Amino acid sequence: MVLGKVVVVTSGKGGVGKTTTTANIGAALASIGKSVCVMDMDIGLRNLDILMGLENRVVYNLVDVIEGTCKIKQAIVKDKKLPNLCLLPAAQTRDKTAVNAEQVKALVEELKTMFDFVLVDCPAGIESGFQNSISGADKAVVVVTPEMSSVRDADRIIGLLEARMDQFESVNLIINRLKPGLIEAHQMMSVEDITEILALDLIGLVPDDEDVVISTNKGEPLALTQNKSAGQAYRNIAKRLLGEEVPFMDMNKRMGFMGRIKAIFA
Amino acid sequence: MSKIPIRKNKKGTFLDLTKENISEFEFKNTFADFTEEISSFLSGSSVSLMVSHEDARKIDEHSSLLEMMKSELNRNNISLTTIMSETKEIFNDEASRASAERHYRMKNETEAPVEDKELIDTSELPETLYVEANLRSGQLIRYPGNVFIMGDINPSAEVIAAGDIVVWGALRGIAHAGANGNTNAKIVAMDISAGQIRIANQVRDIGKAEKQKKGLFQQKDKGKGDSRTPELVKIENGEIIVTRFFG
Repeated sequence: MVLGKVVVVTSGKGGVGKTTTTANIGAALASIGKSVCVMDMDIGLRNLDILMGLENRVVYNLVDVIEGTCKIKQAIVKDKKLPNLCLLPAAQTRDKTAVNAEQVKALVEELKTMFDFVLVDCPAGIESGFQNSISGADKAVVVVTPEMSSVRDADRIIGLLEARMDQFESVNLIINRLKPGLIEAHQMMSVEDITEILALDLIGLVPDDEDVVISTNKGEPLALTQNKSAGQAYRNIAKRLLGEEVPFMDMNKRMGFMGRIKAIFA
Repeated sequence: MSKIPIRKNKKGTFLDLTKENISEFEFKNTFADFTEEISSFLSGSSVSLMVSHEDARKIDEHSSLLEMMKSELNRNNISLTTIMSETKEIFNDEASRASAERHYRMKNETEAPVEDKELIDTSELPETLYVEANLRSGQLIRYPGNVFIMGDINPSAEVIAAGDIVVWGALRGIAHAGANGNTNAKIVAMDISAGQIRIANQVRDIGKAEKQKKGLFQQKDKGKGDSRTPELVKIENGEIIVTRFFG
């Protein structure tokens, strides 16, 4: 019997890439050989199944498991490509009040015995959905984009996580959608600007990449595509979650010729 | 003419002010006369005050009320121990005890109902509250003395102090010094990048104009951080000014 780790992916603000991050880290961990369950806690507004390309395979969901309608094994959906990657979908016809923190905690405790990693996709906000999502987590990953609004919301979330610090082994930061050209031109917050405010250890830098949109629509996490830079970023995050030391990508090197020209005139 | 009832419960003697309207101008005289009258037999002892819920809120908002009652009692050699509201003790809870021991548990506004925030401790609180933490968005510290933060005040975190505020770190959120109207209150911080600063009843919008000249987000010069001069905010000629602080 394995005793895995529960990692909650959260952000406060919506639309910064929590679900995409969850799907990609999950896929990356699974491609390394770990058994992974990605769990959608956004009850009522579920998306993770689409990003994984599994929306047509969902039969039971998380609320069914908690209410005892089905067994965990019946609700879990296996990934098409990676046999050790699974999805526990949220219910779309219910809302956040359908479950409570104790029930979610009991559920993830059980999942921990079945998988090396349980990745919890937290809904936006600081209300019950958030409280439920973090209830059984061992580690937290905070996703932030280089915008003041996202940084402020992340800061709020970190404050709430710090209030239960004894629960968490670690709270780390992923900066998503970095645009090196804009940072160079001083029109976007830099990695240093963000880490100075949030004072958390970085676990990933993900460049803004059109391919993320394409992979989302295809339902194939980018992390499985070898030659994409955002995909590489997610694979690096997976390795860091496993305790490996991986150097961060140099965001400035990625800027192409036109980017440099634009930066000069910006 | 003693019309304020003196009662006793298991925690000691208290003055029942629940029938009084303490925000009324008249009350000051009533209270002054009354304390003088009771001083003959309560001098040297300590009492509590029992107030209505509504008045408890008023005391929290205008600490001059509290000061007035405290000084009237002290003038007659009576010390004030606690203030209770009708149904429960307002400040005699654990959080307040902790802060009295120089350990302030930060409260998130959403988690603390109004009554719980009314931490009115008159005798036990140190003059300066030390906080060893980064204040994050949504966290609030309200203190009837000076506040010393060893850490940053992040955007949309708030510190409201009756006295001065010192930030051993960056001030990016809201700092309100002299919140009871003390225009001599000051704010000192290692680095001020807040958009708005408040002292007493003055508010100043610092704005982004300067930042925007060279692009919104300037990269910090590495290594220069150590030689940064702390900044001082005070009121001069009725206006909030920000200057360098040379100690």
